[in-house]
Amino acid sequence: MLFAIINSLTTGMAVFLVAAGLTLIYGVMRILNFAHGAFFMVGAYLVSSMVGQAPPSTLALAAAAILAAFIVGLFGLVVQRVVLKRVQDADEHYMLIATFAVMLICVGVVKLIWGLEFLSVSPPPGLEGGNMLGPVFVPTFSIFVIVCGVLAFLLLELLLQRSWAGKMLTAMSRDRLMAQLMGLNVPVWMMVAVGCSFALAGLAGGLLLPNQTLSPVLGDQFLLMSFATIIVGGLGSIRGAFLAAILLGLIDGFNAIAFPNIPGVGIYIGLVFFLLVRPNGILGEEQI
Amino acid sequence: MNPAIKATLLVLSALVLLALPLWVNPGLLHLVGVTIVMGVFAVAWNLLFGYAGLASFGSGGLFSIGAYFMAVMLRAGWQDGFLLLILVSMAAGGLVAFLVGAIALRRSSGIYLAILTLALSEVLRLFLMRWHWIGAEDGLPNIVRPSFSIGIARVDLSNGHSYYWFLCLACAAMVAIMWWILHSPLGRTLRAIRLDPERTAFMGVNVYGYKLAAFTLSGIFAAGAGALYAPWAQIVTPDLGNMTRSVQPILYTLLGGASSFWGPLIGAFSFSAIEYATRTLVGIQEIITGAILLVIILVFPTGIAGAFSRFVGALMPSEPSSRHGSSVASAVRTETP
Amino acid sequence: MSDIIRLENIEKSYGTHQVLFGIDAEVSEGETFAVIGPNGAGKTTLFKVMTGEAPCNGGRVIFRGEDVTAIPAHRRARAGMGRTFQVARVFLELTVLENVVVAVEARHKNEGRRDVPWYAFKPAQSVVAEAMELLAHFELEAKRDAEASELSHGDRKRLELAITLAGKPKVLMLDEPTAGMSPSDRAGVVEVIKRIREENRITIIMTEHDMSVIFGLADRILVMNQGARLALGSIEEVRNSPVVREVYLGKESQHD
Repeated sequence: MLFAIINSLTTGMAVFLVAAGLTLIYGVMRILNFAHGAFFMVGAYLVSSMVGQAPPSTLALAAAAILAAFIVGLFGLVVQRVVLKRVQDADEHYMLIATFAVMLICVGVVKLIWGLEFLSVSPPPGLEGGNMLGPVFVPTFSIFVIVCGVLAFLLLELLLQRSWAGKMLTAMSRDRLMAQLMGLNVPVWMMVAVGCSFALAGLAGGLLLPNQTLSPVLGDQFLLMSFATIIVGGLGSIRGAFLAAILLGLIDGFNAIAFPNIPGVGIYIGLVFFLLVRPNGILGEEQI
Repeated sequence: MNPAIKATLLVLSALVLLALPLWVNPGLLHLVGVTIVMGVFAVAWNLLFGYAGLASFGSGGLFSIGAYFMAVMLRAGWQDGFLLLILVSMAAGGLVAFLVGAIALRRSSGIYLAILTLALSEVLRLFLMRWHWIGAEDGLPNIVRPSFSIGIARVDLSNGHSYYWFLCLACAAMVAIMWWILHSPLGRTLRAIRLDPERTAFMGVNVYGYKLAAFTLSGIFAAGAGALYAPWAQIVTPDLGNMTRSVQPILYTLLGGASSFWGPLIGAFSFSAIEYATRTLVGIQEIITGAILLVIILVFPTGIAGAFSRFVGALMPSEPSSRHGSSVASAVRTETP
Repeated sequence: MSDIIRLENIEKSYGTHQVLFGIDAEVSEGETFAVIGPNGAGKTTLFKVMTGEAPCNGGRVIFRGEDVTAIPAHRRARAGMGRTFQVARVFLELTVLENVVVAVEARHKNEGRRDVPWYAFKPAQSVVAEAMELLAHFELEAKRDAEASELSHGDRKRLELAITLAGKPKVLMLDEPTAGMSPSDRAGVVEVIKRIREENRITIIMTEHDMSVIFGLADRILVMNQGARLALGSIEEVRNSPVVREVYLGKESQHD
């Protein structure tokens, strides 16, 4: 039982790491970014190239992940300039398709550079094996993921709630017009938010790399789960995404125990249920 | 565009398609067949998007309902009722779409509807992947092309190119029916709903009912396309309903142009041509596809059909040429708050 | 004269923000009824409650003797409510004629009339004739094949009126019919509304900013302020109401 819960939390926090960036960009630009999963994947591939298939140490992995975050963040700025900025006033369907196109290009580039073979990376020495927590075996890497997830959440919360920049971003996501009126340089702040969002995707890719099978479809799996998370949590809400990630992780864990022959269905059923019953999510603001 | 030019183009392309088996190799013919089916699938999707203003990201699920139904029945030896099977699979798709729409359209629209339909088709796909009597992950192979009798005549679609010609005819019939529906008062009302649902409601139109009708019709024809696909490909797999498949009709429609009835078909063929030309280049294919899509959205939001009719309009000054806006802002429909 | 619309104690809030506080009013058949008040007084919200776009949180809307509070907008429209919007809303991608044809077809369908078999591609001759008559009425017949997006602001307003009248409403609800118009255009609109009123013997409910338009048209006026009813009565009564003078007309002494 405890084992199952820890597994669920690991899934939940892994998804949260990806979903955080997705909900951030939605909050600021009102864009549901299909390319987010692809950039997550790019981050993972970048880190795998930097550290090889057997990373020397946890520190090296973390450093590589941060570097990847930086690079992917820069890509994000390019995407923002070339694509997102131009479609942000268009119909939302067109925004979806535009980011879908970016995703296709990303997948193509990944295939071109890293090929089609599956690649797997083992955890670095510090994160191998596991500990006995009472009667159950807990993989160290699970703990690492959970810690990363919670840390990322606390850090984001702190930044958004307490820091000046965070307050600006929050204000802007609430009401773009008012933000402009108050003299905020909205385009610049949008760049900042988009950069951060993509950087988060890249970071997540790096951190979650070990124990992952790298392939060009990696992005898809995480993308759908993240969509579910941010919708259940309420679009644009980091706190909601965190709660939703835990909830969906638990649903998935329960699914794995109760219906082991159809894994993964629970999350979608949960998502459908939420969309119909509480379309604004756990913590979503009322739609106008 | 001038109706005479349109009709000529239509007849010409139909003749080319029908004559195709006489000179192209089997591999390419197979691709063309798939493209025709996908074109019909895309027209069915655009019935929802271009006419009722609703975007579904789960149409792949409906396609696979039709395909699986047909595959199971044909493997069970129900060849004789092939024509009936097509109708029944369409009815099945319509029923599922109706049930989903009846609940979903009350509660959600826009992004939420997109994600809701995406999630539902994923649920279906996961079930198909685990269900052993329909082949689980491997799907159902060796689907026979049927032979059956109508009245006294016997139709054998199993040899030569006969199934290809049947496919062409059946798809033409479906496209014709959709054209008909969309040019009837129903189609006009749907267009009005897409442009301004509130205004339409104030004309006493039950907007929800019309949207549900469009949703159901789209499901019927998506499943119909799936049903025709199964004997052509001779194998069905759960991947028929995955996200990439659901997005295909969207790509075709935008490439061809959502504001034109024929846009999705034009898009399907253009897309296949690109894929065929880049089939040996791993990775490049996605990049080219993505880049084309981006260019279309950023530069020609009315798609190929829009660009073409503007081109023709420019050649013939007597035609009003300002039918289609050129900038994203004017052509892309922004929803009114 | 009997009441065609009666509002009983209408309450409306958006979230925690209350915008309408127990509005009572009744509109008699055949009269022209104006709702006025400063920006944010709740005029448009009251409109939306009447038409069914926004459900109210308390109170009842009675339309032609029937409680329609829980009835959706399209069914109120069928029962005879027609409305226009502040910024004219027409179907921009359809032609001028198609705009009206859709509306006429919708009404015929609701009346249970079948002009053409369901599979016909072309609208019935009778529908087109009716639509053309409406277009002629608003001097738009020359532009029948133009796309509505090509029309000027004033033409769109007239097209919207044609669409609305195609539904043969019992009550015509006009939301700021002269918004954003020059004084000369305003006079034109007043004439058009007068003509509609005479020819159709129709009840009109309107919101309006321009006092001269109100004084030229309205039989009775509901004055609203901060979501509450300030006064209700004939122009004369409202003008002489001390509360109104203080809050509203006080600033526009030239009308005294």
